[in-house]
Amino acid sequence: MLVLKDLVARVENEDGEGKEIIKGLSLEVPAGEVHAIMGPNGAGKSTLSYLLTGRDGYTPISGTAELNGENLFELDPEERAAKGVFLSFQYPLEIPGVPVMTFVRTAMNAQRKTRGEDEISAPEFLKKAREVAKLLKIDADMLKRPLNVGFSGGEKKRLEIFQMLMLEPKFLILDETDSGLDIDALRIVSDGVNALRSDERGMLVITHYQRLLDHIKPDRVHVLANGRIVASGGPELALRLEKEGYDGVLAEAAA
Amino acid sequence: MPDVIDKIDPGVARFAEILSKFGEDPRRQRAFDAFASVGIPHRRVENWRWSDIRAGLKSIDGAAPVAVPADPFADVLGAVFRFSDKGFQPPAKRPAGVQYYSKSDAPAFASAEELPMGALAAALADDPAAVVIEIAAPLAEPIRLVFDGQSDRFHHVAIILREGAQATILESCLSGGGFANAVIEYTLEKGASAERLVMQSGGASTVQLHTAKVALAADARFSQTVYATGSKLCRVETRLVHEGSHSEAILNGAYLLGDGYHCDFTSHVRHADEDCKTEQAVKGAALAGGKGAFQGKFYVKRGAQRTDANMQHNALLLEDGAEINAKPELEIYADDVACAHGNTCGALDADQLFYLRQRGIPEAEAKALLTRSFVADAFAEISDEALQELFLDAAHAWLTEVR
Ligand SMILES: Nc1ncnc2c1ncn2[C@@H]1O[C@H](COP(=O)(O)OP(=O)(O)OP(=O)(O)O)[C@@H](O)[C@H]1O
Ligand SMILES: [Mg+2]
Repeated sequence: MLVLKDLVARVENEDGEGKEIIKGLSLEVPAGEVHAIMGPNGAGKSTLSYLLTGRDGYTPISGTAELNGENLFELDPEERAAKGVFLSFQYPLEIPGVPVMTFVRTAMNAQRKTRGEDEISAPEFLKKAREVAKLLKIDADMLKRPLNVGFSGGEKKRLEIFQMLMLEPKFLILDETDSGLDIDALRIVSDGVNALRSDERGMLVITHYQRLLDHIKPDRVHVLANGRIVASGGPELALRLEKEGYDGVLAEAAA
Repeated sequence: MPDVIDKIDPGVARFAEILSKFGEDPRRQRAFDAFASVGIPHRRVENWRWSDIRAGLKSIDGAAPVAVPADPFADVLGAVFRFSDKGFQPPAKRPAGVQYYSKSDAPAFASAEELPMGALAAALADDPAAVVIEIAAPLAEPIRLVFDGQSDRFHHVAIILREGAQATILESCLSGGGFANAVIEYTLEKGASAERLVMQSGGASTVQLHTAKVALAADARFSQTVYATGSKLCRVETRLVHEGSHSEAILNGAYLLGDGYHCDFTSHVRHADEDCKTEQAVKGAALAGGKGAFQGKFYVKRGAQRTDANMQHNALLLEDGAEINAKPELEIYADDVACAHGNTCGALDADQLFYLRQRGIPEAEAKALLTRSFVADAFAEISDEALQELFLDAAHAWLTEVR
């Protein structure tokens, strides 16, 4: 499904100054699988997520990124979204003046339009929103408020998953969705994510902690350090990192 | 001697000629002199730096007019007073609680020196010389003033709200061509309350000056919201005085300017008595080739204690090549006051924009959505929900059609 080969990418500021953050990264996430990415602070995990979603200032230098055989780098961010790429942001943005419901409906219809599909009807949208809100234990009042404005850290993360369940993307990137969530919220959000697991979907779950992977069980675990995948394994790799920290794994990779 | 003759502005001469057709008329003459002493404002005239009327009038000289833009208030109920280049047209039926008079003799225009271009409108207003509208009670329906036309025109309107009267006044300021210059005097007696909503829209070859002079007696309340998309050169000016204590004013507005459009929001608020309040929130946005200006001044007289005044102007440059200038000013001679002003000018937030696009909203639509929400604050004080929606819709239409 997602195939990354020898990716090299720079992060650039507005003046075009930049540095290489992704330094030869290869990774494959087949449809139906959930892969976890762990790695030290500053390793390039969020950078990878922005690179895949097309944020300005994150520039591929060499290598390829394909989703179902299609070159992601040739598409605008909104086109990638319409193809089903969804990023749950590490730091979701506040959008004053745009209520959650308006925002999600606009996004959903925009994606449908790009795909050449009909708009969702108002009653159908409302019904779906109600169901998803119930599943995620989100208060109806919250959906009327401007998106993320004044929301707590955990509420923002919950709202990311609300959007995800509404938009039903094909490829999900979760960037530290667990940070800021309380114990109950972690379970609720994980249940939401698991509800989307299917043979046609792929997921990349970026996290620092095993506790999320207790709920969202990964098929593979990768360690990203210094812009590369330096180690990969099954779920046991995450357990080992939890116990030992990164030193051992990084030393083995360097050897 | 030849020196002096050289200095006669040919633009002024053009208006002097119009004046001459009224014969001997000291009131018109006095207003005209106030204008003539300044002349046609241009870039180097104080307060007109960003509205070069001389250049604007020159550039539309001989330009073909376009259709008058549609009136966003067209479907709103209410008696219509129409002021156009074809003369004044009163409403078919006089609304209850309202008296109006067409004046064939020009009334005096009191603030001629402060508002030279308003004075020009008062000096040259014709057919009739002025219309006076008196409101004596709370009105059930809004009153609509429609200013439109395609050629040069001058209008002078006076609106008086008697003690305890209450009204919503909708002004449509529409122009397809020519020099449209209107001055409206609002007088609010004790405890009167007026909501003034202005929609401005003009073609790219018209100059529009829409000036209001507002006097508030004690306990009066005046709430204004303006939406403007500019024209070749457009200035919406409000000069307000808190004459009695405990009066309140809101001076909100938004301007959205496309390529080749200009709009200048100028306001001057004088706090002349104690315990008065002014709130001002103006939002502006311009595309490449759009030019906006905001000039706001709060003047607090000695002894106008406990004045509470807040001025905010926020502008968005939607593209490179957009231009917005701002001059917020406070001049305070009282010591116990709370006065503030804020002014920002910047681009849309790139992070927010990316967030919207990541959710599948195309760039242009994402920009429109963010701009709409940016502008929406300026309409927050409109008391009627349907009218507020009308303003939001107008802004939304501009954002989706023009850009
Ligand atoms: N816009 C930017 N400008 C400058 N440097 C950046 C920018 N974005 C990322 N970086 C740098 O790139 C490196 C990787 O950052 P990134 O956010 O991808 O790390 P991460 O692996 O997600 O870390 P964390 O676990 O703390 O979230 C860091 O050194 C960071 O400072
Ligand atoms: Mg990160």
